Amino acid sequence: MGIILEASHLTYGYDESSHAIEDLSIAFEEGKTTAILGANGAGKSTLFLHLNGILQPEQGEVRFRGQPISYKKAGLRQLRSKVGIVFQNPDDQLFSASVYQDISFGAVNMGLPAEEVHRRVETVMEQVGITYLKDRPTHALSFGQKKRVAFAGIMVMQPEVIILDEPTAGLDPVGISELMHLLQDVCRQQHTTIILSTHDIDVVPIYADVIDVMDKGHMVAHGTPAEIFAQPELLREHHLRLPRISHLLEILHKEDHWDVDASISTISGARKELLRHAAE
Amino acid sequence: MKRHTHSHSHGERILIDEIAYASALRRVSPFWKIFVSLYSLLLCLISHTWAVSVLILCCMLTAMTAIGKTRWHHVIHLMQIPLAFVVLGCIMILLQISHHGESMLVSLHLGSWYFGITGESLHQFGQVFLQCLAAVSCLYFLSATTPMTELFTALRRLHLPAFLVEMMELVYRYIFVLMESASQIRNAQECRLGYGSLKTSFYSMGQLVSNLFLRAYRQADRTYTAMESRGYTDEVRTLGLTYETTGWQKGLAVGYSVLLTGAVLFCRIGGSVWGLF
Repeated sequence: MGIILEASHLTYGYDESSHAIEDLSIAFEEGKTTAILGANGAGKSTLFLHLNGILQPEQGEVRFRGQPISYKKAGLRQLRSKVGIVFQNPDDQLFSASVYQDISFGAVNMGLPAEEVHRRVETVMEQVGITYLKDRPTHALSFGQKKRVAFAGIMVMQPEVIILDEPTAGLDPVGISELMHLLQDVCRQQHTTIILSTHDIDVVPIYADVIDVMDKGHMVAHGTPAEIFAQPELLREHHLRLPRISHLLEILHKEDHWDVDASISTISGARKELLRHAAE
Repeated sequence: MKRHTHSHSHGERILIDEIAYASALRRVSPFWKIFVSLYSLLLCLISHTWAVSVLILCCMLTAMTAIGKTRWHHVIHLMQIPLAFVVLGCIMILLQISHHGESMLVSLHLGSWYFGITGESLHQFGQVFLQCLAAVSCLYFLSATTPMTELFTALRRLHLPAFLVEMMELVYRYIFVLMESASQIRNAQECRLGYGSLKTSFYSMGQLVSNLFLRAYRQADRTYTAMESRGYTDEVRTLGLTYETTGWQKGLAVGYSVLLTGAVLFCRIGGSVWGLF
């Protein structure tokens, strides 16, 4: 699998004096789930808005399948039907009082015929498990339901890349795991590449294939979860932390001199490692 | 039922909106409902006959409750809202001032003036009162059976300028977000005793309003960004909603309109030829 979307040497500032992102390069592999970690204000959202052509970089360029993106009307329409963003606050995204109409918005904008849009809306509602919300007004939905509708509103466009800005923020524990499983299932079915940002470090090792760490507008680390979580100092330096599981293993390793691998970050991995250690 | 220590209503809920979404007549095409509602209103306004007003009032209330399955106490609650205005307005018609008290049914004698009710004024009071209630019930029939989204679709198909309908849609959607914001700010202020005295109340309310403006401004910005990322260019386009108007519903609407027209004509002719009503 090759690189589907990449940004090279991006620089962008909201005002003259400072840059929200600076000389930032990142590449996303097709079919993988990439988690972008970074403290508040690291520039994650600014990066996302570039990947979808909402912001145009001062320097550098964004390439989709190797082609630099065009900021002309047709080019942007093309890009936005391939790369979708699910925003953090669903109220920002759900502009229509009708759930059905809101979901149809992106697909209608793509210029698809009405029957195709109807078919897609119904399929995606089925997949995301929100068919029962069809006739409900948007303002009567719970936060979790709004998140799902927002996700459906992007999936209806059948993008090749979906960007999720803090998909788990504000959800209850069950809501988080349900939503994350759902995202993974639906995206797998459609072979969608996932890019997500989150502060919920414990869910990262479960769902992410690749991790990129950002700080102050720069990219500071890139690797698999095992590679990244093997460098606790690096994470702490950039105001992040290890997943709780890795942290426990790190303490067992450092303080109690157990021979365990502290880069393991999932419950199943830790279980195997601890059983192995106990057997020795 | 949740209880609150202060009386302001808590965001995101509007009674008439909930009634409309729950109505059994919701799936009926809005064009039929607009037609029934406006035609009734028109006849109610031109007929000036209490009998027609009573007929319209009964039909509209029956349509909302028996056919639309809206609960009676909700309908009565809705009808009570304009009642105070109607009664206050009509009292001016009821009370007459005159130098001659003989024709009055009940009167109060002050100096050389008589304040009271005459047979004529009582009749007029009844007629205007019923006409007002009937007119209000026509509009309630539409708003209690038709959610705003469906009304927007209808307005679009009636070729109202697209940007106007879009503005209405966005305003309607974000009223609820704004209401929620306002109630959150208000609660947070209340927690810190922001409404303890008259002076702090004024200050807090001012802060609330100015904050709300800022939030609304930022919200608009974020919504625009989100819409742009879904391919918005210059027009909000979504799929229109579909409706299921059954044959008997159409028949009922036509039958009712014919009946109403007949009643109006009968009253007119009856009034001039036989001196009825």
